[in-house]
Amino acid sequence: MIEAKGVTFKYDSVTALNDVSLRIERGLKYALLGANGAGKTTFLLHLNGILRPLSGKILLDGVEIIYERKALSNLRRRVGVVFQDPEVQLFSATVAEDVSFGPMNLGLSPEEVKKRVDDSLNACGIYELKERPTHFLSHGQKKLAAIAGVIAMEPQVLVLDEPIAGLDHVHREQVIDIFSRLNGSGVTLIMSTHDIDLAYEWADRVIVMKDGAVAGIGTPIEIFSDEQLLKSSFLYKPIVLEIYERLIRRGVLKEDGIVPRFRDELLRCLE
Amino acid sequence: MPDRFAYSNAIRDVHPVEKLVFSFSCMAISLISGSTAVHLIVFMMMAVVLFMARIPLRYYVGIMFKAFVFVFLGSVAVAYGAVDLKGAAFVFFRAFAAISCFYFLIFTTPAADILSVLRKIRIPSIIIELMGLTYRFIFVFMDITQKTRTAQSSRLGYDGLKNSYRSMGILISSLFARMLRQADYLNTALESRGFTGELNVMQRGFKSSAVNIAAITVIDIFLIVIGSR
Repeated sequence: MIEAKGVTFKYDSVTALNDVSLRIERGLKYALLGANGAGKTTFLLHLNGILRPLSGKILLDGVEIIYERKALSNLRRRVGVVFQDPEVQLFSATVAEDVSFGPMNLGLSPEEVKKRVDDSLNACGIYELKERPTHFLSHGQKKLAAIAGVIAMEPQVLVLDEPIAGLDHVHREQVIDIFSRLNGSGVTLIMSTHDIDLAYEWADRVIVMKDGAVAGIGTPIEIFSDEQLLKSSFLYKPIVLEIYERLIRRGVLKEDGIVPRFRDELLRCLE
Repeated sequence: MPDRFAYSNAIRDVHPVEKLVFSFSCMAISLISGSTAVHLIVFMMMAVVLFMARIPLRYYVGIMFKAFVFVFLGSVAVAYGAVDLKGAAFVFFRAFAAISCFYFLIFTTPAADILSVLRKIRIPSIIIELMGLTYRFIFVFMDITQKTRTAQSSRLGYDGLKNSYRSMGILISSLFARMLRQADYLNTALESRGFTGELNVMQRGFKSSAVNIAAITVIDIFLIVIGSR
């Protein structure tokens, strides 16, 4: 659905992306891993045309993105971005106003805007914060409001820049749950994160970035079985996989082709 | 912060136009009228209305006291300079009546609602958007300032006069740099939600009340009649 071909980007003279090529398939959940400064955010900002490649190109459904107003607006209708810091995303005095901003820009009717606002606030479980001023919200609530503001535009692709960073486990579960439901209704998700265990159990595909380049892309099991890759990219093995592999090595479990991804699956193997 | 009450008072859902008209008409009458009786009535009335709006009395008294100190000193200057005690008292009451009208508005009407009224009377959108962003970012920067200050003091940044001056300087300059960066980020975030140059947002619906309009009219006429006697 979205494809990057040889994308290179520099901040002044610092190379942030170096010849990045990869393809995002429709309907899948992607986890983007990599150390701080690996180029994750820079890459994500290319996906809805906020940043423009210095060389190389971004394609949407096989068509190269042109960086002019109408094409960009069309791109941003389809690809929504939730930024890491919700504080910079919320600009309105109240939550409802802020969430309505995107739908208003889509040129929808007032009734439809109202419906979208209510629906996305409900989907994020913050309907009761509707008329609350943004500056009275907690960090977790701000995050949910920022997510609501983007999903109200009903994008086909949702780009999430470290959406669970700094959240308590209740908000974390809530946010993950929202994403899973969206994915269930066909939305493609691309999420950067530092949470390796989450990437392992949640994602359909894992992308590993290092020094502005793609170091690896594949299914979670492929990526996390690649010791070389993990080592060179400063990643470690997810705890579930690590325990499973040890148990196999010790002969406690027999390999049956199904590698557990969730805690519960691993526990079931032991019964 | 009166702002907190603006979002959670008993008359939050009254039409903002009614509140604005009530506040400004009473203020105008107080400023024009030379009758101290009018000033006292306005002052009392606003206190009663705010009480009805369930603004904690203690908080209101506290904030009024601050205004009192300020107005009182001003009046003393008038009394001393013009040697006119009566004139000073007059200035004092008039100023107080006008202040209470303004506090009524601030305590009962969220900034978002005031902006929506301004939008309705066709104030240019650029002005309204600037006001809205300014309002929002007051809180963002207050938050950053407070966090920076805490971080500085936890490393003895405000230990002694010399350190304090230096820390304050760093705080101000870093706040400025952050402001620019924040503005940049905001622009990026807005753009990715389809920003086209205008900050269009959904307006909250309000119901106007015939009772309120009648009450405001009666009160205004009453004040004018008292004042012109």
